[in-house]
Amino acid sequence: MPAPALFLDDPARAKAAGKYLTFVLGGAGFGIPILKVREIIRLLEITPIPRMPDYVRGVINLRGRIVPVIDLRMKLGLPNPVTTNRTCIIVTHIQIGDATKLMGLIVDALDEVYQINAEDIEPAPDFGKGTAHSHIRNMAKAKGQVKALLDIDRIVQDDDALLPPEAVLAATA
Amino acid sequence: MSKIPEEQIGEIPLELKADLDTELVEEFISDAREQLEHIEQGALALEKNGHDAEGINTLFRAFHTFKGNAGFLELTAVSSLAHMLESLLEGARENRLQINSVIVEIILKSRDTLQHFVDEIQAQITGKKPRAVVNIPTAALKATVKFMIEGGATMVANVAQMKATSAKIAASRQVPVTPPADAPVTSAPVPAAPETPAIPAPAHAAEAEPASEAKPIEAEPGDDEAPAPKRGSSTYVSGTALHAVKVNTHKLDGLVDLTGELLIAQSLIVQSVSSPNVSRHIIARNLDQLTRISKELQRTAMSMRMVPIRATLHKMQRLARDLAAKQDKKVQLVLEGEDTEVDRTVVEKLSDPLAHMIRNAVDHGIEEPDARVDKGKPSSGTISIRAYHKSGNIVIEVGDDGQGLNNERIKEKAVSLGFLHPGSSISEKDLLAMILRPGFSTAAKVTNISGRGVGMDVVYKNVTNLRGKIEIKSKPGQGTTFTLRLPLTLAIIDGLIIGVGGQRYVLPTHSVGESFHPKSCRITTLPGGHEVVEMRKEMLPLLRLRDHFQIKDLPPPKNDGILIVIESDGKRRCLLADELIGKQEIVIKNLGEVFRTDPMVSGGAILGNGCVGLILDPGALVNLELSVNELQLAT
Repeated sequence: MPAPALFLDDPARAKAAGKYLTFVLGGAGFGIPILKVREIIRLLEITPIPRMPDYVRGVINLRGRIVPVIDLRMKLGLPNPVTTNRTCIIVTHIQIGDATKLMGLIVDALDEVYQINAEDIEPAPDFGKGTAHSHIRNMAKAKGQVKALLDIDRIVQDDDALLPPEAVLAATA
Repeated sequence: MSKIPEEQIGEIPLELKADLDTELVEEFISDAREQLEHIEQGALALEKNGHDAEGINTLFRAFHTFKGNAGFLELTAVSSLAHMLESLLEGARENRLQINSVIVEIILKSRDTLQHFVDEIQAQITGKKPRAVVNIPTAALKATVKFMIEGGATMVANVAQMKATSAKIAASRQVPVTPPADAPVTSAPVPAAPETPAIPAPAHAAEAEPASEAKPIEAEPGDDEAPAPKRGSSTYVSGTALHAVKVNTHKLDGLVDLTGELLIAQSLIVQSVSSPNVSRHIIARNLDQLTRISKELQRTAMSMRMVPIRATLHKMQRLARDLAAKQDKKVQLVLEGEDTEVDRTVVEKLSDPLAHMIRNAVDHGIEEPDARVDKGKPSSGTISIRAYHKSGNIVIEVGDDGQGLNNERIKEKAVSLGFLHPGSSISEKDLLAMILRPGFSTAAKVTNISGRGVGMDVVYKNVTNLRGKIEIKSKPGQGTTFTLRLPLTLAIIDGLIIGVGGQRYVLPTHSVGESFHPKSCRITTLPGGHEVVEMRKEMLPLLRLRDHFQIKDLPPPKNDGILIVIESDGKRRCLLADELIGKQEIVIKNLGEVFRTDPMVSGGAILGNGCVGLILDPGALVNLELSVNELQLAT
């Protein structure tokens, strides 16, 4: 069967396949590669940082280490963030320049870990330039539902409201 | 004396083999840097006392170790040069050769060449440069050394001839770019650092010169044309690029012991909590024990980051020597407190300001030998560096016995630059601090202002970045002393914790002047909306933190808040916070480095309640462009 143009070529698709941690944001399903996840913690007290965009909720103390936390619901422009007892923070490894850093993502609720196979992955439809969805790379079908697979490395990097950290500037200078 | 194989005299290119074990090379580099430091110290010591057998031994061993390590990695270019030097020193060890300033000069040059090799190897092994064959000319240097070694065999000879040789040497040294062909001794094309060009051989070298037939030896003239590789300031680069740490075994043992104690204390607590009939005070006692151990553990862990300041101070010795020789001044550097320990990060940042101060002292502080004698001072000037601990700080005093600062001229200059109103009175301390201001030094005719000032603002900036302070004392005709006070570590600061809008923030205590109740002073709103606080005749701009942090959805504080005066970069500003919460020693942490925060937030700290407190940067706060009362505009 010839693949329609919309489909990923096989190597890219094979690369995107694997285990994903899925979670719920405003009723919709999302997923991030499980290898990007360091741990999942309950919502704890967040120290806000003044003069930052709203979705940058602040920093938390993760066993003595300071980790920034962003609200994924607000970041993706989903309405009405409500905090429930299922709200939690996924601590992820993200790539900043050459270094790997920790960042927390606030999500409404966790779903489960899925094995997503290459044939279930499709590239995200073109939402048009400048949308808030440039970090949705692929869509996947899992148990009859569509999950948006996020590229979390790009969530911070592609944001014009946030400046890259000094370390990256120094490295690129 | 070991024979030198002929084939090792010529140029040998250095090539790093592809299958070289990176770890081994890194070990070699870190060890090599240590040996190079020993060599430099040893050579400088020998210059003062050429008969010091122990000094010669130390040097010999250093070159020997160097040679051995390089040979092991088959770095023939490096090991052959080290081998030549080793042979030279062996001659000295067996009294066949008299150490004099020319030999010291050669040792130092060889050392610089070796260092250049090490720099290259490091750059290639760390991937900063592509792997390539390194061509650093060594043949001429090796030839010189060989000449020295062989000349040493015919010790007693024609003095006149010898003097002629050394005169030639001296002459050629002054024009190191184009050495005359008949003085191949100096044609060693050692790359000279811009700051430390070839040093003219002191005139008295002739007296101590070993006899030698002044026959020119084979030297490749091509070498002279070879462009000297750019060295930049790499002479003063220490081995910090490799992040290996040498830790005193004593400290390491202590750490291991403490970890053991920690485990015992922990199991005691687990036991006492789990068994039903243990009284509270036994638990409390065990917890006390745990607290003691964890504090001790922290102290030991911190002390591992501490290193003696020795290496940094010793680097200054070479600098002072080279600078003095360049200017025909006589300077001796006296070091005190080399074992004083300070945090690694602080040590690394101390080199630059110290080098600046030494340069200033030699350039402008110490007079010409004749002028000194006229003033009744010894012809050789003394620069002293003292390092010691005092009340949680490290204090470094850099003093010279030169001409001192000229207060009148500083005053004139300050007035002409507009830093000072003509006719206004100023304390001597404040006046001298003027030379630290940026612009003071870079202005025209700076060298005429009693000297000092070149780059002093750089020193000030460096020291301020280390959260330190500088104090200047000067007596005309007797010298100047700069006193640097620096925190022992950059990782811990004394913080003042303030509350703003329900959150806690930390201000570094060293930048906080005072705090007072808003009712005790007058706040005036200027036309345009800016507010100033009038405090003892001084008008300070007011920064309302609540407004600046854009806290809108919280009820106003119950009380009037508190005014805090902060000072940084010589500027003062008044902050209005909601409350003062307390003082705490805090460990500075970064905020995750995922994105950049507002510049006024310089980091974070874990506070007593387990939450993160943001550390405010006083420098950013005083330099903030004050907007008109934001809240008023918003409502």
